[in-house]
Amino acid sequence: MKQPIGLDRRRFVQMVGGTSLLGAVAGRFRWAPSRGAATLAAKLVYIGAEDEIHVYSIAADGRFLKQQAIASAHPVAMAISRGNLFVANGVSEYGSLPRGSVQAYAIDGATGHLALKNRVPLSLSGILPRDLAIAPDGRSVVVAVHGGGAYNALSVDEEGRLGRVSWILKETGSGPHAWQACAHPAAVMFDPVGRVLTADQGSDQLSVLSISHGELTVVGRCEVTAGSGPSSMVLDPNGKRLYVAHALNGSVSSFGYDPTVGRILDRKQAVSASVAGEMAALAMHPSGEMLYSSHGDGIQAWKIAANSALEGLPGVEGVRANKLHVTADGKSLLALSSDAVLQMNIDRATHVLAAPVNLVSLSKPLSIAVWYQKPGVFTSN
Amino acid sequence: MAILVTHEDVRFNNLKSARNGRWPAEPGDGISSVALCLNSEDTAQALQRVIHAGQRPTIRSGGHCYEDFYANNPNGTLIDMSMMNQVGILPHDDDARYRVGAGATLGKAYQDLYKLYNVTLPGGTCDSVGAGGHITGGGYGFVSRLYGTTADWVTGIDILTVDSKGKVALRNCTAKQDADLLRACRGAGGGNFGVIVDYVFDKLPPAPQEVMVSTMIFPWAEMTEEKFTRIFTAFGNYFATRGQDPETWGLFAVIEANHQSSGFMRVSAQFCNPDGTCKDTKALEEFLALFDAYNPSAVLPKPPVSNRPAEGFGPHMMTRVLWADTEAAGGVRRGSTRAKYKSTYMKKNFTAHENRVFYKHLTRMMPGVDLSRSVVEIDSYGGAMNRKEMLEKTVAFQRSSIIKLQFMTFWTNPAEDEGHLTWIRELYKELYSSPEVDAAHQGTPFPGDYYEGCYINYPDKDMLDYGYWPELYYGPNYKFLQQVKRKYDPNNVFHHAMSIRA
Repeated sequence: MKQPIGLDRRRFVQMVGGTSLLGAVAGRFRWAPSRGAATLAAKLVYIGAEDEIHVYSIAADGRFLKQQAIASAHPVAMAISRGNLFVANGVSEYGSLPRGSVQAYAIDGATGHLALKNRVPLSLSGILPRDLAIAPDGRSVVVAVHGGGAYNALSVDEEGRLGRVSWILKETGSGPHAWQACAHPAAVMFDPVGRVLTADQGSDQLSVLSISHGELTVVGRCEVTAGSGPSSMVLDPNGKRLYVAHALNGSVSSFGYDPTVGRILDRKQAVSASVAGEMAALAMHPSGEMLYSSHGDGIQAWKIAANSALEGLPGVEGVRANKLHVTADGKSLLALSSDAVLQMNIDRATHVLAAPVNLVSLSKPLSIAVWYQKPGVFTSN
Repeated sequence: MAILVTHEDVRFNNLKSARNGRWPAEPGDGISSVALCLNSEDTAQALQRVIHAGQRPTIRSGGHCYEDFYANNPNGTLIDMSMMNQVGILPHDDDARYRVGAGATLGKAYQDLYKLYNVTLPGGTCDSVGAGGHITGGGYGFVSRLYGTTADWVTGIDILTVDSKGKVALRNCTAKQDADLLRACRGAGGGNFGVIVDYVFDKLPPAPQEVMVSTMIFPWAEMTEEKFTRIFTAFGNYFATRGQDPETWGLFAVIEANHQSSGFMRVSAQFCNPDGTCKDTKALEEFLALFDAYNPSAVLPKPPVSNRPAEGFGPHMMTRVLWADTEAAGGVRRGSTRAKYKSTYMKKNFTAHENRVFYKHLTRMMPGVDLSRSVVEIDSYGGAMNRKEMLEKTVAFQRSSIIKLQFMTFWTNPAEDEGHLTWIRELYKELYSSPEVDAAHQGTPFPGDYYEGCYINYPDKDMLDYGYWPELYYGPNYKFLQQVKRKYDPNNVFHHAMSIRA
C-alpha cells in the first residue's frame, strides 16, 4: 500500500482519525462536522475492478488496507443498503443469454467482508448495465441498462436477496452523435421522496419515474441539448437542484427539481467543463457548496453559489477519472482512474483540490462504495 | 383498432398460451396482454402503443415457435397476427402480385392459392403453421425439391419497423427499396427486424395436379441394427446420387425414425413429375424398390399397451378444456404437449458413426421416461433448394445439403422434462462428436464437409452454449444480418433469445 506522496502526514492523520479500524470497535473516526451532515466515519471502501471487488479498511494514516478480494463479473456500479452490497455486472451475456446481471452480497458487520447472497439475470437483451440505485426503503433496485436500452426494477427481500426482474421499461430514442444510434440509459438515482431520476446518454433525455409494487412508470421527461449525452447526475443536499454531466459534449448543466411532484424544471445553466468523452462523472460535496466533475481528462471543481450557479475553480489536470466520490466529512475527493484509486484533499477554505495521491494501484477500477459508520452506532445497516 | 385482450378478459387464458407447454418456463415470464390485429393499420397502432408504453412487443402468427421467442415476454404485449390471413391478389394491387398475410396458415394459403390461381407455395408440411414466422425462416416441404423454399420465391415484404426515435413505419421492401431488409427477411427467421404484415410474390409455382403418396412401415419388432443401418444408408445414398437428377426432384421422402417404444419406423414419400403430373412414376418406383429387401409393411403394428389413462376417458372422467381449444371450435390444445427440437443439415450420406448413434438412442430405454413420442424426422433435401443463385438473394446459406434432420421429443408430464431433454441432448451431442466435425466445434453440425449447420425455423436454445451459434444458423451471413439489424431496428425493440444481436 502506498504512502501518501507529497502530502503532510499530520494532515492525513487528522483527516482519517487516530486509530486503526480493525480490532478497535470502540475507536472512532471523528470527522469535522460540516453543514447539514451527520458525523460519519468511513468504515470500509469497496472498489469494483475488472472481475473482482476489493475490500479495504482505512488505516489511521489513511492508507487503504486490503481485507478481501471476491469474484464479481465486471462490477460497474455498486451501492450499499441495509448491510448489503448490490452490484451491477456490466456483462453482455449471462447463462448463455444476452443479458447482464445484478448481485447481492452480505456485508459482515465485524469485518466488512463480503459473502455472495445471490446473482440474478437482468431482462432478455438487457446487456451492459451501467448504473444502479437502491430505493430509500431498501426493497427495490433500479438498474440503468446501457447496452439493452432499458431500465429494470428488481425486488429485494427482507434478507437482502434480490428477486427476479419485476419490471422492464424499454426505451427508444437517439441523438445526432455517432454514439447515439439508440437509447443508452446511463445513470439512475432516487430522489428524497423515492422517485427515480434517470439519464439517457443515447436519447439526450432525463426522466422521472415512479416505482410502485415493483412497477416503473414514467412521470415526466426532459430533453437536454441534442448530442450532449447526459451520463451522470447528482442532486444537491436540498434535493431541489439537479446537476448533470454530459459525456458527449463535455458539459455540466443544472436544472431545478421539484421533489414534491417529481418534475425537472427548466435548465438553469450549462457550462463547458472539459473535452468530450465516453463517460462523465459527478460528485457533490456534502456541504452542497461544491461540485466536482470529470470527463476523462482532468477533474473540474465548481463552486455552487448561493443562487446555485456554478463557478469554475482550479481543478486537477491529467487525471482520467471515471468515478468520483466525496467523503462524508467533505475533506477528500476519491477518484477512480484507469489504474488507481486517487485521493485529493479538499481545502476547507478555498475548496481547491490538492494534488492527487495514489491510495491503491489497481487495474481498471470501475466502481466505488463506501460504508460509513455513525459514531456510537455499530451496525451494518 | 387492434383488440387488446388483457388478463381481465376471459379470452386471455387461451390467447396467451403457447403451443409448446414448456413456455413460458416461469409464470412471471408470460405476456401481460395480447393485441389482436385485423389489418396493417391496427398493427401499426398497436405496435406504437407498445413502444410508447415502454413495453416489449413479441409477435405470433400460427404460434408454432419451438422455443419461447414470443411466449417469454414479461409485462409485454403479444402482437397476434393470426387474423391477418388474407391470401391472393388484393384489390388495390395494380400489379397483381400474390400476397400472403402473415397470419395466414399454410393450409389456408395452399387452398386459396390453388382454388384462385392454381399455384402453390413450396412451403411446410404442417397446415396450421402461420406464414409470418415460417416464410421468413425459409419454409420447405413436399414440393421444395422441385421448386425451392418459400423464401426463395418472396419478392417483397411489407413490414412495420421502429426507427431510432421510436416511430413505427410501414416499409414496402423490394429489390429496389430497402433491398437489404428484404434479403435479410428471406431466411433470418421471425422476430428480428419488425412485424411482417404481408409477403409478396411476383410469381408462384404451379400447384401439382396430382401426387403419388406412399408409406412403408418397419416394425421395431422386426428391426436389427444391421437392417436399420441399411435402411438409413439406402435412403441417404439415393439423395446423394440419383436424387441429384432433376427428374427426381418431384420426389420428397421422409424417414420417420420413431423411438423403439412407439413400435415402428416409417418411410413415406410424395412424388410428382416436374410437370405436376404422375404420368411417369419410374423415379418413385426406383426409390421404393430400394427398401424391398427390408420387408416393409403397409400395416401399422399395434401400439404397446400403455397403463397411462387416456385423458377424459373412463367412467366419471372429465377434463377441463378451454372452448376455443377444442377441435370442434377449430382450436388446438395449446400448452398440453411439451416438446424439444433440434436440427441438422447434412451434405453427405449417413456415416457408420451416425447410424450407430441413431440406433443406440432410438433403442435406449430410460426408466420413468416415455420416449414413445420421440422421433428423428429425416427429410430429403437438395434439388431446387440448392440453387446457388439464391445465395446472394437470401440469407439461407445452406445450398449444398441433401438431407435435413428434425429431432423431436414430445411429452405431457413436466416431471419428465429432464429425461426428455437428456435423451435428445445426448443423442445430438454424440452424433456430432466425431471426426466429421472439427475439434473446435465438436457436438454441433458446424458447417464443413459433412454439415451445413442448423435451421432457424427449428430453433434450439441449447446452441447458445456455443459462442459460434450464429454461424450454425447463418454461416457467413451473420455480419450482414447485424448490419441490417442496426439499420432497421437500432433500439433492438424486436428481440428474443436467438435474435440477431447488433
